[in-house]
Amino acid sequence: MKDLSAKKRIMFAKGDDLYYFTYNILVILDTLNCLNCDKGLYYYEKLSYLIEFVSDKKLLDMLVQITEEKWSPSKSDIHLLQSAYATGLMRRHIITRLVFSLKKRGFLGLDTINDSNKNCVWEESNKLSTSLLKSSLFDYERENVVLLKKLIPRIRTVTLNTLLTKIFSNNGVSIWQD
Amino acid sequence: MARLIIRQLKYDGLRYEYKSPYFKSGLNIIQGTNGSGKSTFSNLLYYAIGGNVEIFNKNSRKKHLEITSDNNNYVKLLIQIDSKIYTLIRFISKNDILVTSEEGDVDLFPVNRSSNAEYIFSDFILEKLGIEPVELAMGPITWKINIKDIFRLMFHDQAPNPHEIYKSPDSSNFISDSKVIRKAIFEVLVGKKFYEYYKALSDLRHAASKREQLKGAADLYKNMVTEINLDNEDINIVFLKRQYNEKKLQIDRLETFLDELNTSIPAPTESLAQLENLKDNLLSLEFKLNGLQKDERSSLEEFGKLRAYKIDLMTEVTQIKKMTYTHEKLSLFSADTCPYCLKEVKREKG
Repeated sequence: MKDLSAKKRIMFAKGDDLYYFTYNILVILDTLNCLNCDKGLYYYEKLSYLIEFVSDKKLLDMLVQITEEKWSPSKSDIHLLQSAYATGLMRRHIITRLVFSLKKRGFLGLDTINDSNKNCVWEESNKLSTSLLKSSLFDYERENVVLLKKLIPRIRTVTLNTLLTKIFSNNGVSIWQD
Repeated sequence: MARLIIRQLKYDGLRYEYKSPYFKSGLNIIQGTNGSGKSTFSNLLYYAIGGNVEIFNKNSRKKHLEITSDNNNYVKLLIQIDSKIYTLIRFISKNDILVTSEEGDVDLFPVNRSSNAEYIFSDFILEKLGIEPVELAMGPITWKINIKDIFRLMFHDQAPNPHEIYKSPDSSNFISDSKVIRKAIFEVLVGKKFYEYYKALSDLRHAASKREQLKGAADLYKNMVTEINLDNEDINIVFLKRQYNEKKLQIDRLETFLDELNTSIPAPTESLAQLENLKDNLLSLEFKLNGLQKDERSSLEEFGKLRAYKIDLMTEVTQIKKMTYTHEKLSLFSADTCPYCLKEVKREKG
């Protein structure tokens, strides 16, 4: 068993951990009140980029300043946004796998809408213990989601491209076309 | 003064040409009906000796249609001065006259006087006629009598106004039609030698203007002196001497006072040394302060860095806390989770 504990420690690498993504995804869905298919978050790929801002208050504050208070982004601001975009892009396949895995375990619901590319993800609240999501440990993330919701109108339903344009392209970061 | 005879006038252009008969010495009378070209003839004559004929100008309102519409046209005048024959050629609307002498010498003279044309056609013909080119000084301007000016008493086209014996000048200004000029033209034509008189006159004018200048300067100086010397009461020598002695006495007294001051006060060696000490002290303290301030700055910087590091660590710690918490609640993954498909795998004991 000595081996296992060593491996466990390795799994807890900060910022690249499945539990890290899991709690962020669950908090985002819970705070946005995504409880069923109709109220769900469209395009689960968005989660990959949203996690960056939800887990980093400094990055989020910078985004608020340049979008809401119209400060022109400095070189270092653009650089930070660039790395946030790159990280989000790299993580997309992990997030996809995680979402499917969580669906399989029954913690998330996932469905396509009208047989199109449009998909929708929500939390299966009856499967999750309430104490997990209501814990004060996640207040930090919760506040950030509320801020982000104010900053990006219709954050739940906008397409992935619109979200990327609003956060990155409009602030001088060039993005890949999907 | 020499004798000038006009022998023949020729006009030649691409469209029109004209050649006068050879005129004999003495009076020649030209007679013709209206529009037969008497005026054109006299205008061409005047143009050939450097006159300005307004109707030969293309931009003039009453232009001479035949001559202004012709191209490459010129007037050629054969004149005789004493026994020598000269040919003058002037192209229409050009301001140069080409002079060819009997011997075949060819010269080109400008018609108008300018800063870079010192010797013009008028000077040439006056020299040949033996007329001194009279120079007149009018205030700051000097004026040379030209052949055109002399022609004002000799050349008239159409019936002249009986009140104006002088033809009006080609270009009229306050000098060209002044009494002095008219007088000079007349006197030159009458043939008297007035050169020295006019030279003396111009010298007089120059001298007078210089005198005015100097007088002005002197007045200025006088005014300045009276302004400085408001109290310009005459002072006699006795009074000056007394004043001088008083001043001298004052200087002596001041000198003795200065000597006293120099000797009475001892050099403050002790306090100076103290001052030096204090200065050194101050300097070392300032050095110390500088060093401390530097230390303070670097400490603050380090503190800031450490604080940022602490915050980072704290977030990391809380993140790990959250992860373990999630694990406890959900227990989704373990060491046996496949990192790709996220399914549990069974390990075989090796």
